[in-house]
Amino acid sequence: MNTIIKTSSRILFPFMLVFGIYLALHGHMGPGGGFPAGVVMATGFILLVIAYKERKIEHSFNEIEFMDIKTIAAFTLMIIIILGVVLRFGLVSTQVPFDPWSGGVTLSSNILGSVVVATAFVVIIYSIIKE
Amino acid sequence: MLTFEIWSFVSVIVLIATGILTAITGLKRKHSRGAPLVAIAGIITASVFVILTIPDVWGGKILSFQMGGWIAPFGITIVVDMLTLVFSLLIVGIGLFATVFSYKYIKNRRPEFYALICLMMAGLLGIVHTGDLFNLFVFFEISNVSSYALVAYYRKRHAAEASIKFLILGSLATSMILLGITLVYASIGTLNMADLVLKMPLATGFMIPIALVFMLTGFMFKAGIFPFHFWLPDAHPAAPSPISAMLSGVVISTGVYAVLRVGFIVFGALSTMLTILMFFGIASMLIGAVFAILQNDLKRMLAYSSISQVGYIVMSIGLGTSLGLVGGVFHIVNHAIIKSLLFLCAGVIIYHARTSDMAEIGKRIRFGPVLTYAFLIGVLALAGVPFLNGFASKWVIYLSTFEFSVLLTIFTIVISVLTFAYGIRAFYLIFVSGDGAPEHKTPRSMLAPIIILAVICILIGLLPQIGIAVSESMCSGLDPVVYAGAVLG
Amino acid sequence: MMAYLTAVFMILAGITAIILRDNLLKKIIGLSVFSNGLHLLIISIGYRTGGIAPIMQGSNAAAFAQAAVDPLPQALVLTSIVINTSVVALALVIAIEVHRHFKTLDMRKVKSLKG
Repeated sequence: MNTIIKTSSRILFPFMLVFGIYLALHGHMGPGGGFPAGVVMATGFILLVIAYKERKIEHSFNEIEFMDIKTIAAFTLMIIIILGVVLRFGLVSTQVPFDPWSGGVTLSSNILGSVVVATAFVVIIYSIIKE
Repeated sequence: MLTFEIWSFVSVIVLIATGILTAITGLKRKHSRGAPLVAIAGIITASVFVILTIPDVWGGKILSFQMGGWIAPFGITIVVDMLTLVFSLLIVGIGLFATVFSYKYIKNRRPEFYALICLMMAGLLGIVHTGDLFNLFVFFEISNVSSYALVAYYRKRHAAEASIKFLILGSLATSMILLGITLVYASIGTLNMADLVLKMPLATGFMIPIALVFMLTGFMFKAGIFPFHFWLPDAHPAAPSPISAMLSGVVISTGVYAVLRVGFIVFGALSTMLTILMFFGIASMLIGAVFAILQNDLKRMLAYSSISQVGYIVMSIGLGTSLGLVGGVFHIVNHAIIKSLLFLCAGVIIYHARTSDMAEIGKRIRFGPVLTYAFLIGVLALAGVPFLNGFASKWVIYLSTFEFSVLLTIFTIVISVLTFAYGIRAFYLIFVSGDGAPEHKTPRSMLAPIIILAVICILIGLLPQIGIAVSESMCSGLDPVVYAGAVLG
Repeated sequence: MMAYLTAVFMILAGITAIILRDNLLKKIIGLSVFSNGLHLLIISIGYRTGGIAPIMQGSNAAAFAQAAVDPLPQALVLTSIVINTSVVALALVIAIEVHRHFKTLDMRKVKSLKG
């Protein structure tokens, strides 16, 4: 991959992560939410993996670590949703427009969901590319 | 603290959580000793929740519960009646047997296997518990995607090919369901099943029958009925044997369940739909039985046999009489038990013989008495021999076809004779002919589910009145007026 | 109207690709195009001409309900996009397996199972 792609992907990478976090945090107040945020963050990582040969990337992140993060995040998401249903935190019904702290479980479920999705896609595409 | 009225829905959540937990136990290493135990514990917990709900719905009552406090028809409704509960017991029970069986059967205990089984069971339980079309679609997809991954579990030639064909056809089928749901929403405006009962007679136009056709296509794909059965003979043998037991036993039954719920409750029992079901059922019976006799491979023969038995069920439902409905529903339960018994026996056979060609197996190994009797019970029950459970449901089916036309009864009996033929041929090739080395010891965890299933076959066969009474109360929940009244109040 | 036509065209193009093309990857692309066309169809059913996005602003519920676009198809499509992405990812992994065993991606040659 030539220098233009390498340099531009290296510059774009933090912006994509920030955009993904923004989408995750504003999920209940605008378009977005867990899933698109995860996809955007995953695309940031995959852009790096494609631009550089993976031998250089391999020492930067470890595939097993990403799978661990994914399962732990998925499990925490499950626990929080169960607790939310059990203890009757509202999901959407207590929502006040434009107030980021209302909406009960929605905020944490967005963040955790985006982490799950991002790590899952990175693992999948990384293992496909490694073949 | 918990004010659920329906405890059995908690089983879905428990199973999803178990699936994730099982995946966690395999965090740092590829093999895991703890994964199957976590899975079994989770399945037992889920079955406890299902069993807790039995006294509430016994006798044909329908419970409903709105998720998140939104009143019907705006929220998602969980509806539990006898039909749901019997299916849940089947799913949880056969899932438990399959997981216990795979404790010794699957060599490298990867945690993904057990996580996928738990997720598939959660998806199937969700299908039978829901009262909302969109929720049905979501859980349908969950169980389908888990089964695509499970069919491809062995990284072998036939598994990869079967799985990719299954995947592409299955995604097309669930997209058909989505298209049907879209058309229903576009013409009526709501997706809650009970609400659709109220609003369906007011809907005019050509979109409703087209929507029904699309949705039935998707459901009949999953059930393995005639024009959509082509994935079945490749996918069921390619999967590991406990997964084949679940696929042939429970996943197919859930497809028929979806046909029942959507066809009978949402759309009313249109006579054209019933005619289509009957014709496709007849075709499936014939094709399944004929191809099953031609097979030399044990699991492929059992897969074609599943197509044939589902043809029985669908033909009986398509007759339109209440007797036919009872017979069909009873046969779903019986076939699930018999087919899982047969596939688990096939698992033990292949575990010892290392091949699935029936003549080869007969030449290589001589089997012990437990397996022989269990397989014999399964084959006889499949054919409908008296004193076993297959006879009770098939007798009801014969009676209902007799009301329709005598030719149909003769045809059904001929197919039963064919069923007996391929069953006994399999039994003869594997257990009677030739003599080989005596088998090595079979692990107890693999024999126990087989023995329990065989005993259940005999029990239901000796007490058919209980089975028929249960089936009648299952069918009482399929009346649209009763359903809508119970859900919407 | 244009949205409906585009959606139907994408659905037909996707189905044609799945049926007529021999290469497995082209079939998977056809599956993806088909499902995206279906999603476009679903969203355009819920569209109201000149409507606003279904995020509540201000506190007048009745006027908001009159002006907003229908949010239920959007929720349906969001779920379906997630599911279809996972299915395509799974399909790609299984396609790698198929290639490993059969050394080709031509589906006419992948026929080891008979009967």
